[in-house]
Amino acid sequence: MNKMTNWTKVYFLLMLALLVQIILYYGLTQYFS
Amino acid sequence: MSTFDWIVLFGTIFLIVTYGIYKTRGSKDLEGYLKGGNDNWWTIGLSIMATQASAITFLSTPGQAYADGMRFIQFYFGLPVAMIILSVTFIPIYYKLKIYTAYEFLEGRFDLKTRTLAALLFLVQRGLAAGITILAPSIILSSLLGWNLVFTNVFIGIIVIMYTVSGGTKAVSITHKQQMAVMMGGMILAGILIINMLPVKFTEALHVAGKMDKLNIVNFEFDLSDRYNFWSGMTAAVFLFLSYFGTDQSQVQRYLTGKSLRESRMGLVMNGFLKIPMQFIILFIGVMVFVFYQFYQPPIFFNKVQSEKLEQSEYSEEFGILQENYAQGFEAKNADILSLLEAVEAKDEVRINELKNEIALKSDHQEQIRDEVKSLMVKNDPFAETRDTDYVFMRFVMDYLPQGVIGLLFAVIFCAAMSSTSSELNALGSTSTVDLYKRSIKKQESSGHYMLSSKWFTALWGIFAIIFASYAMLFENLIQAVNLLGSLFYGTILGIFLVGFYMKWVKGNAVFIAALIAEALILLIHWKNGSELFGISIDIGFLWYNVIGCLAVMLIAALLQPMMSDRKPGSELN
Repeated sequence: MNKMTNWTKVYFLLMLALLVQIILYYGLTQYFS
Repeated sequence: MSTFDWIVLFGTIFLIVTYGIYKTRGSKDLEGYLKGGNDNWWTIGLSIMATQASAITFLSTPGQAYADGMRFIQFYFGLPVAMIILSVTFIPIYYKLKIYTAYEFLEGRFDLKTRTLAALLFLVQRGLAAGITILAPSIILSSLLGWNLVFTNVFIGIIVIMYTVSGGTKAVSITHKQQMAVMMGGMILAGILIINMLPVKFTEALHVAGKMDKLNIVNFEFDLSDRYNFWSGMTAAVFLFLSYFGTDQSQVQRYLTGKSLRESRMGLVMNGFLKIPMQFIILFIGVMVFVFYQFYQPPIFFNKVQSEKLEQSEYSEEFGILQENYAQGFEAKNADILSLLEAVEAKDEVRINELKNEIALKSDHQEQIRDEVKSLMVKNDPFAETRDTDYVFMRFVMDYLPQGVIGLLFAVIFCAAMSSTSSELNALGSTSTVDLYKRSIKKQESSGHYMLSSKWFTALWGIFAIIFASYAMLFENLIQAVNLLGSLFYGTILGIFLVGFYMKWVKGNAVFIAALIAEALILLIHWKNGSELFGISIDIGFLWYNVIGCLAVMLIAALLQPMMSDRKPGSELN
C-alpha cells in the first residue's frame, strides 16, 4: 500500500467498493430467492 | 392533489429557479458563462449525477423494478471502471488543452473536419434527445396532473430556459445541487414511508420479493442478447459510460467547471461511488411498491386516464368482469403469499417451492387478465398507450402517500426533468457557439459577443426542444427512435476519441474515413439485427453496439493509416 500514489489508492477503494456491492447484491439475490 | 401539495411543488420549483437566476446574474465573458465558477469536487459530482438523472429515471426505474425486478442495476457496474479510465486519460488531456468543449480536442489532434463531424453528430443527437427529455415526463405528468400536454412541455421548457440562458454553466451547476437534494431527499422519504406502510416485517418483505423473482440483482450467466447481466455491465456498459461521460458535452461541461484537475477527478470518482447505491435505492423502492401491492390490491391498470376511458366506453361491462376476476385472483394469490411467509418462518423448503410455483402461476394468470384489459383498450382506441409501468410509482404515491409528500414527489420528477434538460441546453449552446459559430462562421469577435451568441443558441435550442416535444407525439415510435439514435452514434464517437488518445500514429483522414465506415457497419448490424448478416445469424443487445462501433473505428483507422498519404503530424498532446 505504501508504494501506491494517492490517486491509485482512491481508484483501488472505488474498485473495492464495487466488489463489495456486487458480493452484497449477489448475497441478497441468493439468500432471498 | 391538495392545495398543500401544489404549494410544495410550485414553491420548490420557484425557489430553485429564482435562486439559480439571482446567484448567477451579471456574467460578463464567455469563459465565465461556459466554464462556470471554479466548482469544488462535490458540486461537480452532484452536477454529473443530476445531469444523468432524468425524470424518466424516477418514473420508469421503480416501474421497471416492479415489473422486472432489480437486474437493471447491473448496467451500472461498469460505471466506476469508466470513471477511473476517464480520470486517468480523458480529463488530464482536456485540462492541458484548456478546452471549452470535448470536440475542440479533436481539431488539435486530427483536423477541423473530424471536430465538426463529432460536434454535428452531438448537436443532432442531443438536440432531439433534449426534446424527448421534456416530452417523456410531460406525457406522464400531464396525465397524472390533468394538464394539457403542450402546456406541460412549455412549462418545463420555459423554466429551464430562464435560468440556463441567464446564468449559463454556473446556473446549471448551482441549481443541480438543490435539485439533487430534492430528488434524493424525496426518494429516501418515499422509501421509508413505503417500508413503514408494509403490513409485514422488513425481512418478510424481502422474502416475498425474492421468492417472486424481484431481487434478481446479479446474474453471472453470459448471454449476448440479454440486456442486463454482470458481463454486459462490466464490458459493454463501460464503453457506453466512457462515451457518455467522456465525449458527450452535456457531461464533459460539468467537470470542466472544476477549480482544478483534482476537483474534476474527485467529482467523477464521487459519481463512481454513489451512482450504483442511488440506482439501488430507486429500484428497491419499486420492489417495495411491488411487495405493498401483494397485500393491497393494485389497480388493474396504473394509468388512471386510460382505465377511466375504458369504463366510459362500450366495453365497460367486459372491463367490469375482468376487474372482478382480477380482484378474485388477487385474494387467492394473497392467501398463498401469507402461507409462503409461514413456510419461510418454519423453514419448510418443500412447501416454499410449492408455493413459489403456485404464486408464479397465479401471477401469470393476473397478467393475462391485464393483457385482456389492454386489448380492450386497443379495441376501444387503436392508439391507446398500453404500457403502464411508468405510472406505477406515481400512481402509488398519489393513492397512498400523505399530503405534502405527494407534492414533494412531483417536485422530484420536475427537478429531474429540469436538471437533465438544463445540462443538455447548456451543452448544445456551448457546442453551437464554440465548435461551429466561433470556429467556422465569425472568428474574430469579442468575448462578450460570443457570450451573447451562446445565450441565443441556448435559448434557440430550448425553443427547438419544446417545439419538437410538442409535435413528436404525432409520429409513432419517435421516442424509441431518438433513444436508439444515441446508441447508434455513441460507439463511433468514442472510437474517434480513443484513437486520439491512444493511437498517436493515426492521423485525421484515416480516423474520419474509419468513423464513416464504422457508422455504416453499426447501421447495417442494427438493420439486420434479429436476422442474418453475411450468412451469420445475429441477435445482439443494443449495448454491444457501443463496443462494436468503438472497436471498429480503432481497427479500421489502424488498417487505413499506412495507406494514407497525409503526413501532417497531429499535435503532441502528452
